[in-house]
Amino acid sequence: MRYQKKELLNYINVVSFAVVEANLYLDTHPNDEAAIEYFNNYQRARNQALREYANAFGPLNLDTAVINREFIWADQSWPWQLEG
Amino acid sequence: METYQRNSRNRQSVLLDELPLAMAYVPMQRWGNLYSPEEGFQRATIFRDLDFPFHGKGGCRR
Amino acid sequence: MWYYEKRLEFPVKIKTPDASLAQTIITQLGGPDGELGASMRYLSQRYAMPYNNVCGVLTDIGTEELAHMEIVSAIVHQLTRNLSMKEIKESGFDKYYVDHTTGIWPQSAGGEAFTAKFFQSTGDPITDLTEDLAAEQKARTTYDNLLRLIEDPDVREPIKFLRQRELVHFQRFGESLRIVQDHLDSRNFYAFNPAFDKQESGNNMQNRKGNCGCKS
Repeated sequence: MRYQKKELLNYINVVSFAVVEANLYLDTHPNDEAAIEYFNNYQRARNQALREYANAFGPLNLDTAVINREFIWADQSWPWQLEG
Repeated sequence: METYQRNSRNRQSVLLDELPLAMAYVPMQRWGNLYSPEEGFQRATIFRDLDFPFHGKGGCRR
Repeated sequence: MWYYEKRLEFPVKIKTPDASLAQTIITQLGGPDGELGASMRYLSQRYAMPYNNVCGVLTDIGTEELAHMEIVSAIVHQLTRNLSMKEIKESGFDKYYVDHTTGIWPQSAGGEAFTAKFFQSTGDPITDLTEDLAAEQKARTTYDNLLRLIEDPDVREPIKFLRQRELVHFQRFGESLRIVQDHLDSRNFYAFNPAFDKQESGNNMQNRKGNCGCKS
């Protein structure tokens, strides 16, 4: 379903942000069941999306970096660079 | 004077004016009232209760 | 330890360079209330924090501030690309350019170099968290001031994001302070520094030999 690079990256940004917000909340509310469920749900979505992105477009982090021929981690564009 | 521990992890509300003096207190947030993840991302928080946009215009033309 | 993910927490795509604006926005990188200072403050304070949940808050927010530092740097980087020498001279950016070209270097808008003097790490949990509450408000005010200056929506969007994050962080530090209070005797929160002083069993001050005369 998510084939475009830009679209998938945006999805990763969104679910990762949900994880970050839930993480900060859980730091001060460690037993909150609703927060725990929310965190786990978006963490799963994030990990899945990161693997998909790595397979299609190259890794965003070392956990999803599997080197086939060339180590492209550094070679692809960096997040502050504008494309084109 | 009665003194007792107020546990921020209990879900009991406390009266601010009965708390010990010379200390800062921020209310404990409760989970809920969430934006969708997409909207939360755009608004920079998933929590409606923490969303406080800036409207100041100062000396700018408007 | 730290781990890098090759994306910005919030995207930065600025179509129109503006060296003069870059000169003010850089303050949220290297200025007194900027993201680098915030990150170093929280990451430094966590070692003396005796309560694990609060160490979690300091670590996680300190880490997010590094990501914010990256966003501010990306904004300044994009605002200072493709500049003509005429633009550099007329915008006042020439003072920064002469020492750094269009490299990124942490300083305030006024040109003061980043310094550890911009933050404290006192080794006292109540003091440190109170400083952190103030720090988040100072950062928020600086972003308010920037938003009044910025009209370009490409720049406004990441700045609004960064500003709102400060308010969420404020809430978490406030909650952290409540957690610290829970560990102390509310009859006198200031009887001792839980990060440094030896404690008698539990928080019960009555166990101390010799009544110190604290209010009971």
